Amino acid sequence: MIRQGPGVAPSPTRPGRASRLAQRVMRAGLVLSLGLLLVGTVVRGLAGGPAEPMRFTALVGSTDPGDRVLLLGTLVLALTPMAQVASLLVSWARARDLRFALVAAGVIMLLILGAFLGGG
Amino acid sequence: MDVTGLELLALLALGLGAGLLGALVGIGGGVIVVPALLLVFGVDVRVAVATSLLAVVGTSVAAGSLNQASGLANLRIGLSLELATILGGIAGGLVATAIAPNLLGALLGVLLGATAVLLLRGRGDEGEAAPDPSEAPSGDEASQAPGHLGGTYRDGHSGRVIAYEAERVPATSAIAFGAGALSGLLGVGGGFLKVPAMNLVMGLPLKVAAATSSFMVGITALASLFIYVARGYFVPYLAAPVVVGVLLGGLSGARLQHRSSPHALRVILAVVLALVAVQLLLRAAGVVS
Repeated sequence: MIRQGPGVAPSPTRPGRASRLAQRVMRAGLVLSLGLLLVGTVVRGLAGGPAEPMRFTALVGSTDPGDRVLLLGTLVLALTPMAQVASLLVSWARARDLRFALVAAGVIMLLILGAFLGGG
Repeated sequence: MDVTGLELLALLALGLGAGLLGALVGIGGGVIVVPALLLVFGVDVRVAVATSLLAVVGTSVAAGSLNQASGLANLRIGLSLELATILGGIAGGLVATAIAPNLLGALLGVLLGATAVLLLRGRGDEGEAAPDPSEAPSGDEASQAPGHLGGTYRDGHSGRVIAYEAERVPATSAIAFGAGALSGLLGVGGGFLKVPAMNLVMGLPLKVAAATSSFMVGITALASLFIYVARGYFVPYLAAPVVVGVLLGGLSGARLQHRSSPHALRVILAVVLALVAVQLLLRAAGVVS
């Protein structure tokens, strides 16, 4: 249901603390992963050679610095949404919004379960 | 596989387009990235899906870094639906081999085509007269009250304040479950199902549905991404230029979304759904791989 007009809540536009913290987490992840992926692409491009499939274990196993930076950038990007959900869990728990804090905790646990089932 | 300098630029351009469109209408861009990688770059389908899943995460992160400041994305609704989506993703991954892909693709193509028609016939964001202001949500978060599945936002296009309440949550959760199941199979975030579901079934304004979906698709894709990386289908040097493009394109798309008219977004989303429907039906018929 959608309601609109002058009588609707007077100051709805400023997001709450949870949203602001989640946004800061997203921005940090965005900047860091973008930087790593850009640097990694340049270093890898200069090194040359074919593009190969890799797992995250190559972060310690690979001898190519470009590939390691690319994998690190990938990992940072991949973990950013999870960090965002974790920040929401903390914010909502502090605000005593326990129903949604439990929802956030459930999402994190399901993500971990899915990764465990997939990697097995 | 070798990646030339020209191909690097082409992959970057692909990412820019996917990120821009994805953030604009609340999809992850996977519906663009996967077919482009298959048809234009000749990439193996599992590698294409892995790249696409990371690109979807990128679109979500880029859009989220802007949308959450505007208050458009409803994080409570998004995470509530994500419980169903991730369960669907896990279930889909476990039963994937038992489902005939052609049948699934054909059914989905028909569904998306019908959804595109429904969206074009939708009423848009017009709603009822404003209620008593004392009914507006209150609490720590001015726009999304604790324990409340609704919210308010100021529309950047019209300047009006719009309040909304989520309806038919179980039905929308069931659709989110299906979107999750499709995510791992097709390399997408499922936004092309979630946005229409949140708008047409749950009753959210289209911009809220799109922004909330942008928030959700990254989490959905993440569930499948780890699986593809663990199974050796992820090629970092191929994925990186696509994801860089997606991150930059997603930022632009998120800014455009806030200022766009709901009608324009509705038309763009309907066109995207129609194109995806055609693509799925062609794949089901064996015309494209």
